[in-house]
Amino acid sequence: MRKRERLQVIYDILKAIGDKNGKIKPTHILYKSNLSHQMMEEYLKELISGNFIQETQYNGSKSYSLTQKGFDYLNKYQVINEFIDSFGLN
Amino acid sequence: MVYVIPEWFFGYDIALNLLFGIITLIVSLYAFKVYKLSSLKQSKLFGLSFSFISISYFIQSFLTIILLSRLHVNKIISLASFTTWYNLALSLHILLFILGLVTLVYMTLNVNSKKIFSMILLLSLSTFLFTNDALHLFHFISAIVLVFIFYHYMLNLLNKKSLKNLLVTSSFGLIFISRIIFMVAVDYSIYYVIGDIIVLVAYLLILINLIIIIGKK
Repeated sequence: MRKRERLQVIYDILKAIGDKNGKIKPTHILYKSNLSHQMMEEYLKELISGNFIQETQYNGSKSYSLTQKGFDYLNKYQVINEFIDSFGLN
Repeated sequence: MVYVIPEWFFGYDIALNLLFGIITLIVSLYAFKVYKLSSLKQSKLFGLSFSFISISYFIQSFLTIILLSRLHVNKIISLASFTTWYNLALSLHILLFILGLVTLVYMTLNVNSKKIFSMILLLSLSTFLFTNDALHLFHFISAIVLVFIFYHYMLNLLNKKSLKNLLVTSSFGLIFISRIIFMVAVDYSIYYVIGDIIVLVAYLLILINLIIIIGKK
């Protein structure tokens, strides 16, 4: 997968979380991101390790919320995308 | 290894090198900012490559300024001392500039292999051990590496035709042309001026692209 597409998927996941007031369950992410379950799990792991989102567990069910880095990514997505596009970082 | 720079251009040359250093530093800082936001490895490599290129220009400028100031204070400076300082500045410039270009071409390959990076770097630098004409070789190796970089940006432009992509592709094309001109400049001083002006245009195009991107915030 090209880097830009990957960045778009990350944007879609983070936006899905952001649209739900910064907190969402995995089933909603699966629906919004249009990914397979396995791919979504991989992305979520990557986003947690990259400190874009954080996972919380309550009564055995998981939910995800945005960190400050996640919010910054959403706000600066257009600039990030254009920088990556024009400087050939994809 | 000494350039034949026209006497009237010496001050302008220092100013231009400082300007190149500043522009490449701004681009590298922004690339690191994008890396901080996106964690994209390519962005870090791009930032590193421009940092090396930036430092290479600053070192060359500052060492030339120091040399000139010593010349101004003492009035007399031995040819041996002048050559030593000049060669030191130029050697560091060559080393860091090649390191920057190799990092950039490695970024375009989109691979994750320290072996490949080390091999390209060693092949590029080791040839300097076997030549007395480091300047011609420097421009020649830079030109070869820049062909691959330009090819990457040409594909990027063909993939998505936009003004920003055109600016960046043109700038790397111009930097490649400047390398060819600098090869001639080792023997004919006026070509050094032409080469420097082409590099100036190239970096200005990169700066304009960055301003367009940042301006859309």
